[in-house]
Amino acid sequence: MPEAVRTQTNEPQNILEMRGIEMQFPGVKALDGVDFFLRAGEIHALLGENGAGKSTLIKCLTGVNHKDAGTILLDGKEITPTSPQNAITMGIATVFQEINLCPNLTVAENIFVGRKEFKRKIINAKARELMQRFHLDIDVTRPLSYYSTAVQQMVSIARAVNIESKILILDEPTSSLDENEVQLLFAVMRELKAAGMGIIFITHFLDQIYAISDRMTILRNGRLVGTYDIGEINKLQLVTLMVGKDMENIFDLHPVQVAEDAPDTLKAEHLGAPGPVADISLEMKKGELLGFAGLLGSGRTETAELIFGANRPTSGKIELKGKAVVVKKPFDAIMNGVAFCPEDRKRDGIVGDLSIRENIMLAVQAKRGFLHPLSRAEQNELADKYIKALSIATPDAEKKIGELSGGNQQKVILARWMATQPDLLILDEPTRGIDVGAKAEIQRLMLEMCGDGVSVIFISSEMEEVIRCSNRIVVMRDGKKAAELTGPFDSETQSKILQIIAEGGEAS
Amino acid sequence: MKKKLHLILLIAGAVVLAAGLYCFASICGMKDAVYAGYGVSFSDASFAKVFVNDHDEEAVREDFNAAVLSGTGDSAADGTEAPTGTETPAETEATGAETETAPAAASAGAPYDTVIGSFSRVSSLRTAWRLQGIFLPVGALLCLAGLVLILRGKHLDFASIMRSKITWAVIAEILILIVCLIIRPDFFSISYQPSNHMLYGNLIDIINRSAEITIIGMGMTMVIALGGTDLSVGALVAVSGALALKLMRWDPTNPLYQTPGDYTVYPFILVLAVPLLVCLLMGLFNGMLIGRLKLQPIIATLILMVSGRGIAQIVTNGKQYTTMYSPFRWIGQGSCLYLPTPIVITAVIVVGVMLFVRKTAFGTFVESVGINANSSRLSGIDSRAIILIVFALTGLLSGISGLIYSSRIMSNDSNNAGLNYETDAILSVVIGGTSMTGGKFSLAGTVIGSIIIRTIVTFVYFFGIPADATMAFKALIIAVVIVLQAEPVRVWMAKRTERRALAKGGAMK
Repeated sequence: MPEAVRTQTNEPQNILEMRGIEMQFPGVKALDGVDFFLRAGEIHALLGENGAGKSTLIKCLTGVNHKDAGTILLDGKEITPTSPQNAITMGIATVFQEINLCPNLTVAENIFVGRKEFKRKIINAKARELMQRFHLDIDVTRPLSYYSTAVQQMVSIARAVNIESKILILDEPTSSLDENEVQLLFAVMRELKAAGMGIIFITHFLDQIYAISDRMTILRNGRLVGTYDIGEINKLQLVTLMVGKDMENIFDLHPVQVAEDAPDTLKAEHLGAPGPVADISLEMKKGELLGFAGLLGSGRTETAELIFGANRPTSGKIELKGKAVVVKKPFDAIMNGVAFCPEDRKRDGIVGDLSIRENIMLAVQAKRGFLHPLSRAEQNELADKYIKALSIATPDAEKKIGELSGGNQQKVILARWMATQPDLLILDEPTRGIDVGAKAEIQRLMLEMCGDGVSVIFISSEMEEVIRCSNRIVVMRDGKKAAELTGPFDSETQSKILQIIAEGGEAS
Repeated sequence: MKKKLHLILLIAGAVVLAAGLYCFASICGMKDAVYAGYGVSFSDASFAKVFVNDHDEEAVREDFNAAVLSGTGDSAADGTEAPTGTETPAETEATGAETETAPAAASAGAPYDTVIGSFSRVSSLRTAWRLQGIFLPVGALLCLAGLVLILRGKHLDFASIMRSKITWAVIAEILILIVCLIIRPDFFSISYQPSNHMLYGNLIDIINRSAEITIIGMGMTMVIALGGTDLSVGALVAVSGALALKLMRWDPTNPLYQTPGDYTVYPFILVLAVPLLVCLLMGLFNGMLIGRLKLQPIIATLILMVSGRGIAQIVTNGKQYTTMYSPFRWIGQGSCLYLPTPIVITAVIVVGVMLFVRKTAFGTFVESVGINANSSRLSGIDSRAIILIVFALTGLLSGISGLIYSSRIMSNDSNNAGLNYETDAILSVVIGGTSMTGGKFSLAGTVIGSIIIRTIVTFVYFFGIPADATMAFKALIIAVVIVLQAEPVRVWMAKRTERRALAKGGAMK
């Protein structure tokens, strides 16, 4: 392994130079003459909306895709990575968003799998040492699945870093971490930076970029917008550059007015299931948007799943549109006009290998039963209608949903439920992992649906979103309703909610 | 321009097909002339032996004269068959003229020259025989391709065609057939056998013999699309056969409790319905274990795979019944629409399943559950019902397959009926382009896969490879087919095509 550059980290020097990178996919130019320079010993944020070309650029660098034009210089020498394995041997390590480890192997084995070291004692000792460097005091002989997502994430970083790498690429490493864990990760990143490693950091969290990065490169629609020092532009300018539109306009959203005498859509009394949900009572009016706030595991998702029938409640009653219903399985809920966008889009939402058209028509078709099929013409009409209405970015309805970006996948799932014309729409983290522009669009759609008389339950970890759109907010804690706040909301609301979550005090 | 290409394909196909039919007709006419002239008839095998295979003309002449003068013609089975005149204009006229002079010529001792020499030479007959074997299948294939393209209205995209597994399956099949053709130029030839009213030839035989696997494959495709496998199909074939034969021979009034075998006590429809019903229930049992108890399909179906043959033994008290009941014979050995009945049954089932799957939303639901069961459930799809239907259908289809099998041998064989059918069915599904991990499936691909497997078997038998080595040889060819279909190979070929198309497009601009 050549280690020529490690010593010269004092003066800024480009460890990696990518010039004029072009990448053509059938029908789309994914990258169009993009330049990217990375210095040794810096954390360089790579920014852009979904589909801007970040991932493609990374894939060109790591050998997953092969560039059509342009040059890549590593330490001044031209390289053409042919596969991720090949890139690793050149010193380019990548940690992907999804954890690519074996849950049934031990932590130590995971770190050393594929290396030349086999002796259990040695790898355990080395792994322990490595994890201590990451300030994690864990038992490396336990299987990986024993530990939380955050620890698993750390292990995958440890695995990547342990291979003597010059460049570390972190693709959305923080999306499943909580605040403390993020700080832990940042500490490690700073250490690696001090050791002279060049780190490429991809994330959707703008705060984190300002907290840790030195420079940033912004891409839009496959083109380079520019590379800036971190102090050079503020957050608002950054978003404007990313989206190409003004941020003020994008987020100019307001809750919809609900009539006083609007009929009830949902009335849930004392819902409960052993474990996650203790006792929840809810009431919702037609056209109302109810926000759920609370920490992960506070029972937000679980409550939604009880209403939708994904899990069966052991106690309590549900009334929909004034009629008592028994919801044993999702199908029952769908037949009663309930729709549910699940939290984990990939696991519970999309059907990856089916086309956009099929994904959109799935719930409508399930409602009708398979013996009463929608004709192909009806399906096409449905798909085209929602592709247009939700401005889903795709050449046609026959593209596989798995090939779309996260934001567009979310829109397709939304379309699936809009097509069933629900009375109650439950959205669990609909904006997670998607870019700023798409987030705003999804929120706008949500509010439009409220205007059309659909009641919406909106669950999100991003409190600003919840406060911006909701008529009422339910604050959840430990599987119980800790408080219910009624709008209009002001700048104080967020701290109030945080206080409720932290203290458990009853408010308003 | 693209549309034109489809039309050209269709027209070319029709022309080739017509040429093949002309050859076919002229051969039929030729035979009829022989039959009509001498009141003796030749089985197709001996007809081919005398006229078509590589005898020189002198030898043919001697064979023919000897046969006619000895007055036996050929096999006794065909001897009673009355010759029927067909409407092939040129030839029948010639035949008419010939019949009048024939007796005289026969007595003169040179029947060959009189009958054959007057309107066709053996070499041209031989050419016609071989040409029809090439024209008929090629023409049919072209016509089919043209029709499918026109009906689908999709523009031709060579890159995506090259990427498809089915394309490679078809190419593999054609390659094997071409090898057969090179070694035996009349391999594709098809002839009409008046004795049992059906067409006869290697291609027909391949399709006929692949019927059992194709039928089971229809169910297996969907089982695999759901991400499972059904190992019990072979055992169900045995159960179905055992039940059918038991019922056919069962006679409670007879002291032996048994009919002699040429009639049934119970209505024939019952004899067919009971095995099918039992197989359907066994399929439902599989479905319940998998859908409701969440057992892994491979484990759940292992139960019936192991116990099924035992059940078949119990049903028949370990006996092997035989039967002569002719309606039953029709299922596996009869003819329907000039084709062997199993082909027609298979065609009806394939079309029926395709319509059920693609004209309702059932296929999409199966794919959806196979790709992502969680998402499907949350979209309101009742995956348990889907699993139940798919396994029950597979059971029923195995039952039908079992009836065909036992009708072919007119007997039940609990040990060997449907032996290794599960592996053959799985293999044909996989060759047909459906992934073992579940998801998207192709019924048409499975049909092709099953035909490929049978082609290989025929190929192996045909070239006299020792019986002990057949399995190894079969495995070898299948390995080649599967390598051809491997993802990297297909992607590489598709990329090549794409690049060429791009280069062409660039040149055009």
